[in-house]
Amino acid sequence: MDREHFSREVTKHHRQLFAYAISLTSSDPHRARDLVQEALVTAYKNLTKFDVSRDFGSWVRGIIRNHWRDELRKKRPVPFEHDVLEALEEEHQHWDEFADSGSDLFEQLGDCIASLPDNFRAAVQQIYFVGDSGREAAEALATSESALRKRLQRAREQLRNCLQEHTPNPTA
Amino acid sequence: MSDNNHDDLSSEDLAIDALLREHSHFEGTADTDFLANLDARLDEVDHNPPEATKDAETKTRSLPIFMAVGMAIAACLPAMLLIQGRFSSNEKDDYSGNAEIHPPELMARTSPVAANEAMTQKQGVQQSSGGSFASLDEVRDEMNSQSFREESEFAAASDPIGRSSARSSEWFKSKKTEGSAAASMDGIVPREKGEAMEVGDETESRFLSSVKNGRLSEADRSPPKAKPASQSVPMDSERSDNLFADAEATRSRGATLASPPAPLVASPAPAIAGEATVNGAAHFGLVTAETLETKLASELRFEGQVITPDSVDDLNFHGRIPQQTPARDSYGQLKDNVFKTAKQHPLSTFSIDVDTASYSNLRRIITSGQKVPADAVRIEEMINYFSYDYPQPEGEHPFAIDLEVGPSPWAEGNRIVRVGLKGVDVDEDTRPSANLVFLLDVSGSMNSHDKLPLVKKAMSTLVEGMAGDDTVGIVIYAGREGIALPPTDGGRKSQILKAIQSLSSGGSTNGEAGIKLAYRLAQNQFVKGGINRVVLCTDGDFNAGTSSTDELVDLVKKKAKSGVFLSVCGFGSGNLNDAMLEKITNDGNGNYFYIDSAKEAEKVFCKDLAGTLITIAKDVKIQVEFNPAQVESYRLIGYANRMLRNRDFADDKIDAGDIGSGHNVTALYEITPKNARPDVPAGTTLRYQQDEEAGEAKAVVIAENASPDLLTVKLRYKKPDGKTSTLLEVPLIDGGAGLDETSNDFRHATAVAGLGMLLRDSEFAGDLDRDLVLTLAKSAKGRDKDARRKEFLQLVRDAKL
Repeated sequence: MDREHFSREVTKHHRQLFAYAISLTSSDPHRARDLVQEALVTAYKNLTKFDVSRDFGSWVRGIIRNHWRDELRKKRPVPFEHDVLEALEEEHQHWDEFADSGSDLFEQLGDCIASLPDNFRAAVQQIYFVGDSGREAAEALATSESALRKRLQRAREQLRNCLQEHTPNPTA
Repeated sequence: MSDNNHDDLSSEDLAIDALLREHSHFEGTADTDFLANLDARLDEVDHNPPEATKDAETKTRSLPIFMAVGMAIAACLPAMLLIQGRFSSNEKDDYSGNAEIHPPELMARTSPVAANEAMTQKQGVQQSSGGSFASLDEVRDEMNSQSFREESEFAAASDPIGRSSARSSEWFKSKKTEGSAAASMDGIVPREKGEAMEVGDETESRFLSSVKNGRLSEADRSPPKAKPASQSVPMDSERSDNLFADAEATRSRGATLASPPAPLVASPAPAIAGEATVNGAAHFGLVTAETLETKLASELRFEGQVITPDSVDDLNFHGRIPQQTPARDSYGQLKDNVFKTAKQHPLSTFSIDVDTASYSNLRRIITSGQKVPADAVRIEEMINYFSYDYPQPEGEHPFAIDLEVGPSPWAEGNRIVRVGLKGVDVDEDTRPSANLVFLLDVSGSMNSHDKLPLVKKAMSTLVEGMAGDDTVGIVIYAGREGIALPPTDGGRKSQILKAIQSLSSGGSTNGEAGIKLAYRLAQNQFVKGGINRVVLCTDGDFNAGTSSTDELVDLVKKKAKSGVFLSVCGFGSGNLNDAMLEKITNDGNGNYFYIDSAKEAEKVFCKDLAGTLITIAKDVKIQVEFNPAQVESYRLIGYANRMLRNRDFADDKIDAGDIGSGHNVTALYEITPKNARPDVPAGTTLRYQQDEEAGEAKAVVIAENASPDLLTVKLRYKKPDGKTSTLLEVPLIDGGAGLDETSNDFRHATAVAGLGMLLRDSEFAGDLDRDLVLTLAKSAKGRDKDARRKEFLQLVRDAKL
């Protein structure tokens, strides 16, 4: 793989990689970008080791995990259980289909959000787009925090299903 | 799973949650900023093919951060930067002529033996401990502490995005490659197998040898002469072969490089306190990701600790674990102004303050999860950190006064008066010549990632804004004072930047001698009608010889009278002598900033540069006269150590604060109005109430012809080189506006004051609580172009109250 090819793959995958980094570090998108950038530089340096028949997304995610682990070593925050990581990886592999077929995962996500039932969509808006904390959002939506939490979980589940439904068929 | 911070979230849930966070964070298909940044880094890799293994402890902590900053600075300084890369064009390498990768001097200094030793040493640890991480951590810690001293050299060599155009600076690029710590797969070996690691590249081993020795030798530090970039290709954002959909977002924006200066234009890497630092350790090597995971996961479980965040609930919505950083900073004692009765004390006089250090400092503290000491909270500096939409001055005076009254959100019946000042904007292009002397503290205490490297970054940022008719000099102090760079033409940036980078720390502080030297230099290069300034960068550990703080203040004031002003930039934590730093700039015609991050450095030295450098009015004093007929009592919020005696107002010998170009200044008064009986006509005698102030039983008479004015704001200022002050007066009537009729700026300033009051546990806080502040602040967010208000909201949420 040469640099052009690498760049193209990065362009296709980068935002999904940010999301992956966010879930590992449970931190903000800026920090996630830093992590992903470092991982991509490492990836590029080791391009010769990358087998083009392999999955670019998985490969880079592995590097992200390793960088992340190394960071953990210093700070010792809460680690993830191995099976959580496995399940996360699986989710992302499904979403890789979007990148691999030239579709936009996030555009589809936007469509899926729009198709949520009103109260689910409102909950998602309040937490993610308005940026309220759980308490503030519950108040804004005139509900209890526990009810809101459940609503969000269901909303996320629906979004997941919606994404699954709209996953493009892998190109040959 | 108690050690999982997303208890209620399944993995799938976690995955979607992260998708949503990314989705809401960024609009658009591609994050072109990120891609352009990455592109530049890959360019560097292309010019420095890594064939060696890396010391796992070398630093990359701040690279990504200041890459991002570099990008921001690129936006701030158009037409100076060239960013080229594969992400934005399909062109082949344009850098013909820049063939040299490793300057010969580098090769000569290599020492594979030393490197081998260093490697084997670590390897040995791993082998013997057989995967025990405790000892490996020790090795790491040791390497880290050594590498801190390296940090300044290393960091100085790093290359922010914009400077990647100076491909000529191969030297520091190779340093950066060393630092990025990512090794090629060839040399790396899985730990389980325990084979010896290989040493490859000379540059890398050179770095290791210096680590081993603890510091770079003099020869190592000064970079070899490298070829200047021979080619600068203008970015063409219309290139059709652009790999991105929207080409216009690329950093080009018409940026053409006008022959970049020869070698080093690097700026050091600041690590943001509390932020993640990514260490590109080379251990992922030949082991497949999965097997390594298994191994690490089990080890992590062994050594991992569980941190319970304050609000587990919040994690389920938006998890964030605060970092802990110790702080042993020293603050002066602040005693808040109390309510005064207008009748007894109709005059309130204070000196204006445009410093912002308190806000950036408390931001650092809150972000690290600590509780903010009350004395670190100067409310006026918090309020003044933000930009407001005050009207531009027109007319003869260099600033405009903007007044507003609204309800007090925390005390029913009270009013808040907002006194706003806006300084005239001096166009950066037409600003007068600058004569700057940097006075840099390079003592041992500056030897940490958030100090000297960040200082270098800040100074480099400032230097980028200099031009040919400016002069820049550097004085250092640590043990002995010395001139690190004699006053140099501002156009010779590379030379200046080189001098900045090559600074290293060590020795104890002798601030007094240093500051005197700096002033002398500045005086020698004095520019009449220009900007003459000493910029002091320190952590405040200003062991100033025999001088007390008062003596220093006197010195600063005296120099200010002669036209040389002072800016102070505080850095770091654990040593921050905030009280002293604030004191020497209070009336010393100086301004005080606290630089907690590269972003803040960019704000102070790039975005707000004109304000930082150009004084448009000095000794600015405000005196408010309250009308006792309308005001029962009043309280000035903040400005606790800025109060003046009433007679100081008209006394031109008494100093006060300055206003810089474009600055806005806000002061808030809380007022208890008299006569909450607007419907009772003047002249009425109230039968059922007594006038308590009269001291005897006397019926209250509503005064006739009582002026409707609430107060009059009087202001005195001097021109920057003037000796006598000019007076302005503006009266104010309370229009009775309700909260929804107040401006965003009013509500935002009030919200900020509210947070300050909560942090100081003010006795006047009344009904104030976090939610109230949040509601107020949210309603006042407005356009928020610089996202500072959004950041404020998060601080309100995170602050420990």
